[in-house]
Amino acid sequence: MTTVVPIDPEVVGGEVDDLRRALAARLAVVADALGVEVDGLSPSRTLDALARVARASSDDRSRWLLYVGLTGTFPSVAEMGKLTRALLLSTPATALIGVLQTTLDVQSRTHSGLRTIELVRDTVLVDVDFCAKYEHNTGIQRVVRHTVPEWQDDPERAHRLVAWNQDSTGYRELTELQRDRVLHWSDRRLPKADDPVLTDAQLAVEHVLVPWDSVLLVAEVPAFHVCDTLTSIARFSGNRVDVIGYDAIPLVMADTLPNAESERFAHYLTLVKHSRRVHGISESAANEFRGFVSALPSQGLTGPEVVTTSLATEVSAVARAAAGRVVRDRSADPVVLCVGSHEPRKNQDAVLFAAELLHREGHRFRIVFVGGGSRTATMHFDKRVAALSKQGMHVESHRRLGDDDLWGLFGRARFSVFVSLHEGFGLPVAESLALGAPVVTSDFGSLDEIARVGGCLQVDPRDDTAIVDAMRRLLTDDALHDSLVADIARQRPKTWRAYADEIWQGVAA
Amino acid sequence: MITRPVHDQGLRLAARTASSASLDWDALSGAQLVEALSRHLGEPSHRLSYLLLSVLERRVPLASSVVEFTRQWRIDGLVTPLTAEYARLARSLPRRARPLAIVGGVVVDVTDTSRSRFTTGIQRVARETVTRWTRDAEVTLAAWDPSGRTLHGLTDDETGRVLLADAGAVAPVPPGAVLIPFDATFVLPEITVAAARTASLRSVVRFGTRRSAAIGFDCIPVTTSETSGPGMPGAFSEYLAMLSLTDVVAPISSAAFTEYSGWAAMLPGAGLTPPRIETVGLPSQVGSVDDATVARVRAQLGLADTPVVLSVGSHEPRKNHLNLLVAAELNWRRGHEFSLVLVGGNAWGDGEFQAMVATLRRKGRAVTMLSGVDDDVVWSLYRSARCTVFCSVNEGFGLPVVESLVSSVPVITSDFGSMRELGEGHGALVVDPHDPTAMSDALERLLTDDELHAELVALSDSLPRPSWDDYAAQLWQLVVGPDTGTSEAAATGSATAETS
Repeated sequence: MTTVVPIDPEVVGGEVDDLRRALAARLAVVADALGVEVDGLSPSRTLDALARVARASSDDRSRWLLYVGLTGTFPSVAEMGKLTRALLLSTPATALIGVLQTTLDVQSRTHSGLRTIELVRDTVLVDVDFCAKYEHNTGIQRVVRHTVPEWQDDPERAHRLVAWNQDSTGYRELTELQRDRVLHWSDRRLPKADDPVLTDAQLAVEHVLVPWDSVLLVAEVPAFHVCDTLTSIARFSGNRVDVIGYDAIPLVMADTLPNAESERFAHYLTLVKHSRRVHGISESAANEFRGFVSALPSQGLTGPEVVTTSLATEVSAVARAAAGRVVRDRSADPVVLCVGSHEPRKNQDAVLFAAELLHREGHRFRIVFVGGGSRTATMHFDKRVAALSKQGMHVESHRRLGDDDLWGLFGRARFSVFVSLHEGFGLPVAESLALGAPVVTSDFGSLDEIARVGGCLQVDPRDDTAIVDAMRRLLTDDALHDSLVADIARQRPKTWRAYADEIWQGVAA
Repeated sequence: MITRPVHDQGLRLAARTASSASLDWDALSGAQLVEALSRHLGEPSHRLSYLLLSVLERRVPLASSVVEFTRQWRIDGLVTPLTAEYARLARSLPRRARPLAIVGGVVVDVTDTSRSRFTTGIQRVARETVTRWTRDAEVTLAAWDPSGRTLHGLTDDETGRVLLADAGAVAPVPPGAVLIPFDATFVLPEITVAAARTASLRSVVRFGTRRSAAIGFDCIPVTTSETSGPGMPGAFSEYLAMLSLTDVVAPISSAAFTEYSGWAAMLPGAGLTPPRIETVGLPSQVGSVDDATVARVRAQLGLADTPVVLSVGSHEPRKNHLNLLVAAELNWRRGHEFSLVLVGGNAWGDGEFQAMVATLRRKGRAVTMLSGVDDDVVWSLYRSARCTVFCSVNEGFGLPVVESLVSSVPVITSDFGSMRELGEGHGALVVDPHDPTAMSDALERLLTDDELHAELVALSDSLPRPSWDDYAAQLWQLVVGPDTGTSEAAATGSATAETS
């Protein structure tokens, strides 16, 4: 018989009882999932029984779940390794001690002991962390906010939206405000506000959603600090993890991005390695991930299946309406539009060069650059724009332009220029086409996939003179311009509904 | 326009290098020189912009400056931007500029090798290879200064650190000269993860070469980032982005080939033509040591009586030492007697490993850790070992596998990649390194099954043993390209220096 040293209530108050009750509740969930009979057992005896099962089990998922139940947090890959080694070196009788020893650090945190857990079983969890938490809407967020709402209220597409909790140790339900950010971006039900910052006391009582026998769709490129925990889920938990593969730009074009982006992406690739399926947003993006996967046999891995699910090319009715409202002034200079965040990869410098050369040649046009960027990326460019403007060239650069104004510019543009050096998809080309403006764009990769349908002039974006020539043709050759506009008129853009259907089929398969 | 003699010298050098016009360039200076260049240099191109900026900056210009200069050249003609750069750069030049030499022919970047005395790994490959090249061809050895922006010729000391005995002569460059590769055949037999050097190399490879080649060691920092120290995956990604502009990458094993081919397959989406990926497998490296030394080392380390299980490799997580310790402990518990000897330096992320070693030692387990020991000691340990363990999670080559097998000692190694390729059928037992139980079982078999042990020892004779001569010759063929013989690229190898 063991004797229990009585606890001094003066010192610990009711906290120990609360912790014990919370632990008992979490372990009961684990025992149920693992099919271990623990009725009437104390928390310590329950844990002992579970530790013996986890030790004897040949698969990792029982150990993963035990860790989650014991600590109220998801384990990292290293923590799983530690637990597994401890159990390998223990006997049935000492398994409990091995488990306690390897989770001691996490268990002594003061902000997670009272957590409750809920297994989310046999369903699809969709990790929409960034979209849930931030008022930011470019590339990836637009994809998520167009896609996920298409699955709402469809009993055939039961799923659970999840975000990481504040200490990034587990999933939680979205708040009403967060759901609003994800599901009603262009039609908000709630006033915009920041998420509250939780206190330790609030963090301690988090309700943690635990994927179990489920599919986890990582719909965004996750933050650096959760990549390892996600890898651990993919490797050990028995859940199948799918990711949407946007691009491999941080690896392939590392010279055009801050180092930290490439670093983060390399850690994301560790998750990709252990995922079940990558849904590439274009054939080109899928091929990048296929390339990566084909490198994996060197480390004894087969890697995920990679499928292509091309993004939608339609624009919202709001955008079409805004572009349609524009009254074209035939006497005004033709508008050339260049949209995209300002960074070296987007090649705005080459477009500005081409515009200057054409201006010198005597062509009359107004060129408008739209897109935000860091000060270091934009400073030199903006100075040049100001200088050229002073010299009488009709050029402007907008760093913050409202959506409506942007749609209006597309409606007004004679054509747009998007000669990026690399894109996963190239939304600005799709948008330009959907709003009726021909595009000068690159002749490879995902941009080629979009442009092949028609309405574009394609160039090698690394060849400055080719960009000049294409822009000159579209400024001067009305027959060519008319034929591209006619091509565009025949196009039927792919809808977000269709994209959401395809992704769902891929995820549920 | 205020004339600057140093700029005039540089521009004359550029003119003589790139223009076929029969002008007396030495008679021209300042505005006249700029004017003459604009008439006789040719059409705007990045290649020529690179050359002009190089001689004015007196170092390799960044790629972005080159592109920008060409644009201005196309808009305004050459005189305006060249005059502007002439004046602008005059302000930043030191009073006494270092001599400038434009180098064609084969230029080999041996920056790290020229500074380090390490005798293993990448530097070893560079030394063995370049030494052999100098016997038959003229090559220019070059290194970047610590800022990573200026390429220079090597001092005698630096050359001495690169070349081994029996090397031939290297192409002479003026002492202290800054080198500008132009229309060169550029070779990188090292890796670079220093940001400025990588950026400079981008510019050289893109604008200053006719052909460029690199040895591909592995892509581990991006394919197995979870085992890489902080900062490495990002820096390595930039290195790969630079490699994407080269003509040839020569992986050191077929496992490295698989990695580089996968990476190369990612490039067309960015409109890039991938380099040709062609394996030149590293040779087996044999170290020898006499019996007396072996006996002495054994005695010194107190290993005379027990079987030795040896593992050579730094303590970084990728080498998987945690699972090795578990496998060893499981065998000790089963009553098998042996000493575990770990040779390798401390490394990033080895905290848990150190703690576990301490725990095992407290229990009286025979764990010996050695680092920074002489080659003699390492080879003596190989010779003394019952078996070795090298179950890394990912390797470009896996030198310890070869070292063990050339010592006729069986090795337990990973069941994939280069390690499997080198070891299987030649005296290795292959296992899943992520499964400590499998590692433990293999270790038990090698400790207890004498018949198996003898079988594996016999098989180790079959290990293919290509030589450094083979390696250097094959790599040279890739460097100079399929269309050229061994001598043509080298024939133009001498540096063109300034005349004052």
